[in-house]
Amino acid sequence: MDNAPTARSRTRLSPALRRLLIFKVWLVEHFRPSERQVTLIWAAVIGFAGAIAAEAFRKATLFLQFLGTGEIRGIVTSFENLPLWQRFIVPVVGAFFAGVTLWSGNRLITSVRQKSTTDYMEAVVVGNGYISFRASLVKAISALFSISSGASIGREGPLVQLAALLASLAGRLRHCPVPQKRQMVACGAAAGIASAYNAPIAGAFFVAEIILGTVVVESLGPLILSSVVATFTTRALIGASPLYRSPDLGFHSRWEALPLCLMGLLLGFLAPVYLQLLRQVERIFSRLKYPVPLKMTIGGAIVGGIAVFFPQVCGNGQELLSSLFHQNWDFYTILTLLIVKLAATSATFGSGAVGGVFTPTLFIGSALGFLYGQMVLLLFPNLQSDPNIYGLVGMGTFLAASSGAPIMAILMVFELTLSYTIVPYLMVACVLGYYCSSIFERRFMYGESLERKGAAFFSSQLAEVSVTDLIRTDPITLPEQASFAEIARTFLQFQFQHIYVVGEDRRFLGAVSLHDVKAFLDRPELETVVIAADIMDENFPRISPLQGTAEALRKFSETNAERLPVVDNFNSQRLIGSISKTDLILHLAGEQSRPSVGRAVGANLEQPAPVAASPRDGDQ
Amino acid sequence: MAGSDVEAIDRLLSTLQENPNLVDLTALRRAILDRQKVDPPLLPMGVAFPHARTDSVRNIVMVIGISPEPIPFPGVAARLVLLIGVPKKAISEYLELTSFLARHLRGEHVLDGLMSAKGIEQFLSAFAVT
Repeated sequence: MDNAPTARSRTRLSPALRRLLIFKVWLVEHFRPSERQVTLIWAAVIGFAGAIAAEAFRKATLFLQFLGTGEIRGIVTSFENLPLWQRFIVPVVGAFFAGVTLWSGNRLITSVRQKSTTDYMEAVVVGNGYISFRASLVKAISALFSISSGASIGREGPLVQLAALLASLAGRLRHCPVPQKRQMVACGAAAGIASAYNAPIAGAFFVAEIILGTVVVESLGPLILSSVVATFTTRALIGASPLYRSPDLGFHSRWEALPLCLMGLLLGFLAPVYLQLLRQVERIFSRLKYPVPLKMTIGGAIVGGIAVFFPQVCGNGQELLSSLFHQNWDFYTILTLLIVKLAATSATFGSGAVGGVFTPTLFIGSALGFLYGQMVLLLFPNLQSDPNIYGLVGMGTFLAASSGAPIMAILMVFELTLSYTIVPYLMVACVLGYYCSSIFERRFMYGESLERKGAAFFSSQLAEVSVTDLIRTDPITLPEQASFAEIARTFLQFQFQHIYVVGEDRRFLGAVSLHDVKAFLDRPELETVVIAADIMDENFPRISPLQGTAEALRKFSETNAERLPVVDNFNSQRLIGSISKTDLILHLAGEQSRPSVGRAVGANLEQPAPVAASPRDGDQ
Repeated sequence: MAGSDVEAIDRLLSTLQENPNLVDLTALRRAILDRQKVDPPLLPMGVAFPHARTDSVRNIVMVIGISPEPIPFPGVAARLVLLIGVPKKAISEYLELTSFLARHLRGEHVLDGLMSAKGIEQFLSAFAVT
């Protein structure tokens, strides 16, 4: 009986394992991949994948466009070179196929309707971060037919949708809690916007301002990274020039600020009219008791009919916008194009086509700005106004007033044009336009979809996400008699800063900190004489599911731990899981933004999903 | 000579009565015995070092007990008993001390030197042999 127990000697670490552990601790010390950093890495991956998906969609659109028009140049150019009958028939056929795709997709997937969604905004704002794969695919294919056949609607909607879908799939792969899944979908949306418009800052702020309704560092960081990676990837694939390089701009008089401010107010009045027009046309189409393919074919016929005389209305308006800045169109040409583009866009949008209204909105704002600028030039020739300035400021102001997101609009116009000269005026006009519009409009461009889905659904989804949803079950634990070797091995195996120590019936006893033991990992003599109970912190903070988020946040503020253990109650102290600081902050940020949902957040860059939700695709 | 591990621990604890670093002797005793129940800390060559991390001491305290006759501790017949009390906050110091003892008390000649020490100076100098 004069020897120490030999059983424990079997738990010793081999020298190689010990060296590996020391190396890992060194890595953790120097690179410390905390949860936030892991989220950032995922954001970058999502940004890259989103850009690739966007590019694949662009290529697929070009391919279908080639089949329909025989050209792969811009959609307007392609239509201008078509015979008149074909200008009419291509949008009709494309709309028919788009409608059939939606209709058949509906029939295939309609049997299962539940929590999954096709709407990335809904997935971020009130959902659980799941986006249905099959339903999204159906919508993407439908959008492919519409966009490639000249429908007056943008591809940015499907681009964002696809990027968000990939992010949702990644969220499922990570098995992370709901707030992080939402955050990943938000990163996907930011990547989609950034790659569609070559606008990384606006991409991030679009999601922060419109979808999340909040600008919190915790959520903005991943959004920015995702946007930037998506932008760089897109630039590597298709080039780096701004979408609408503005001509050289110059202000001849500081008094020009006055008509620009006045324009801000004017466009603030007109934006609600534009939104009403879109809604009215949509209402008219919804009253038609025809099947979806027929409704969409009617929409395609309207676009085709207009395209016979004005092929410029085809597509999202990107080429039209570019021409606006580089061709000296007179007042009446711009007015005519504005009217026909409005008609084509509202017909396409109203008929149920899947696609975006973002770029058409940019064109409409810009055209209104040009018209206003020409009138200013006429009325006040001494100002020597440059209508281009009014076009650019109008573009941003109308976007701000329609979307209810002035910050995003300012950044978007700046990134689209890379013109700093107009930024101060743009800022003032955007803010004025936004405030003016909000007097008349309570539901901005992106405030529709959720309302359509019904208050009951909205409320139930909100109620489903509580602090309990943030708990990650089955945390890594050790018994109190676990040897130092076991502790070291566990730190080697898992990327945690703390390991929880439990007693009988999983009673939480304390936590062993990597910080406390890292200097002793190369001491083999400790492996069998020190146990977890010797070095654990018995006062390690813990929370109960009954406590509120504010209390949880307060406890996080008292420690440097990234996670806290959750016990069922403070009497039994039974460990039921852990909660992460990142999840909590994202959750709180989301909670704070939700009251604004009814005001500004909601719909999509595209139509509300006509395709029924499919079952959850995958795990959990 | 103590007849059991608990008796040996009590005798060593009694020497701490007047120690200014002691806050609560009863709490220290309870903490050490609780620790013994979980997994008695032992070393080969007949060394036991009952210890506890507890706020019943202000600073690290250590009492050394040498017994010519082995005392039956669970898992070892101890001739040298090192009773240690460590404040809760002093995890690093605890690990440093434990590491030092575990490293030095494995050599038989060190142990012989410690066992034959007549005072604290001789006891400490025995460690220097290594």
